[in-house]
Amino acid sequence: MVSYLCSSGEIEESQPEIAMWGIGAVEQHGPHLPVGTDLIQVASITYQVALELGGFLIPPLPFSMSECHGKEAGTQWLRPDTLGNVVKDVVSSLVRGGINKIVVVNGHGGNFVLSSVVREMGLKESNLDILLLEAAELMPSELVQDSGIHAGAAETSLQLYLNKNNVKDRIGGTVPPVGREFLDYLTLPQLSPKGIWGDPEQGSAELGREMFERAVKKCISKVKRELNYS
Amino acid sequence: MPTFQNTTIEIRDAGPKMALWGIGSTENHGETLPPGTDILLLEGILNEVRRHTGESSYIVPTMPFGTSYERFGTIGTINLQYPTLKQVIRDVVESLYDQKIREVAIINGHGSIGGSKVTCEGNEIVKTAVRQLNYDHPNFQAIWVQPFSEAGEELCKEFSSQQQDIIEIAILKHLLSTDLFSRKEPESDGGFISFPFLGLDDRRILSESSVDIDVGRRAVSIVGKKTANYINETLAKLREIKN
Repeated sequence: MVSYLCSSGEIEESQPEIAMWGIGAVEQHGPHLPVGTDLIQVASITYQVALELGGFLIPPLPFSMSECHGKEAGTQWLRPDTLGNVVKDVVSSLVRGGINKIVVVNGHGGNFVLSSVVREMGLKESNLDILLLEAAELMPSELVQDSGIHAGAAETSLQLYLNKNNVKDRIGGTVPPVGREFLDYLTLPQLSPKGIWGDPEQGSAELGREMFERAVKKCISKVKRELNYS
Repeated sequence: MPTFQNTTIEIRDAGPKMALWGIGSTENHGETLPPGTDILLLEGILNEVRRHTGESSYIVPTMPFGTSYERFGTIGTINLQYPTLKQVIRDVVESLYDQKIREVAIINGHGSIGGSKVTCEGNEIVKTAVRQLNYDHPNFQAIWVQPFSEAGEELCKEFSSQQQDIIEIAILKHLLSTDLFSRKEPESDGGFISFPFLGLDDRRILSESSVDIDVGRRAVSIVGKKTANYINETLAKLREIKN
């Protein structure tokens, strides 16, 4: 593996065929998790995958479509078109630099524009193989039972494993009595004043370790299969 | 000083009125330096700046990509087209505005000793983006600064021209010799994208360089302080003018 922290000479010598890139988010995560939770998780996953699979790791994008968290402190967001343009420019840069297998791991569930952008790029660029993976889908859903989607058992567990010094006291969670499509109509804090959707008290570091390891394995397996990479 | 490693409650309670935001780049830096050189330098400088800008300033995560047209197409270079970078700046700063942060200082890369303080070197669009934000939001203040340009005079007094030529490498070497970006025992409280949660502990970079680490230590301290002084004084002046 080479990364943006290796010398350019080393990167050229290794002639990476594949690039790994994480898209994070900086947004409220309830009273107990850092606002950089999604950023930290996706950066950790892409790093570990790159370490095991090889390839070229580029820096994570810290921000994305977090306007779904309203005006809560510590929330930064990009508009959909902005995020789309960042992705296009980053991918184009990698292709121009000679890498045309690209794995984008999306760490924030609200980045719905990504599937359209990636699909379009894949269709337009004939020598590009691009794979979009959702961090949430890489996680083994059978391990958590809290119907959570934000700052619940899954994310709390991962942070306890990856970043425990920055996890604060947990409170009981909430699952709003509406479907997830309501996030198209209201912000999450409007639906859940605590800013949580799930139950953080069900989380543990041990669960986080297992989720992380299985997510990395699943990511590697998908990359090898979908991009025909070994 | 709150960062992305704090919770929303902690950030809210800190009540930041000002944000510091570094805009770096990922670009081919020749044979021996990493494409992330500017990110590392910027975050090292930011770590110094924040010592002098007040406890309640909020550190926005560093933007790792900028415009790098001249190196576009080389391995390791990520180029954002200027409209894209302008949009990113606009969106992120407007999200800070939404949270009632009314001042933001954008630290644009690192600039150069003797460089202009009026136009941006690298990420040129930052100047335009800042200007537009100030027009669009009259009760808000955005400024930009390039650290080496700001600290140029003092760096020239302190270091010989030979030392000035290798100042970037010296600072880099110094930063990598500290625990600033260490995953296990970060010297900072986190909040930088360079190392802590990545577990990247690659000290191979520059390990064979004979560059003097102490030059780097002294340089980054000077640059940080001068940049912070510029930020504090400029914002104070602007408050005075607007009142």
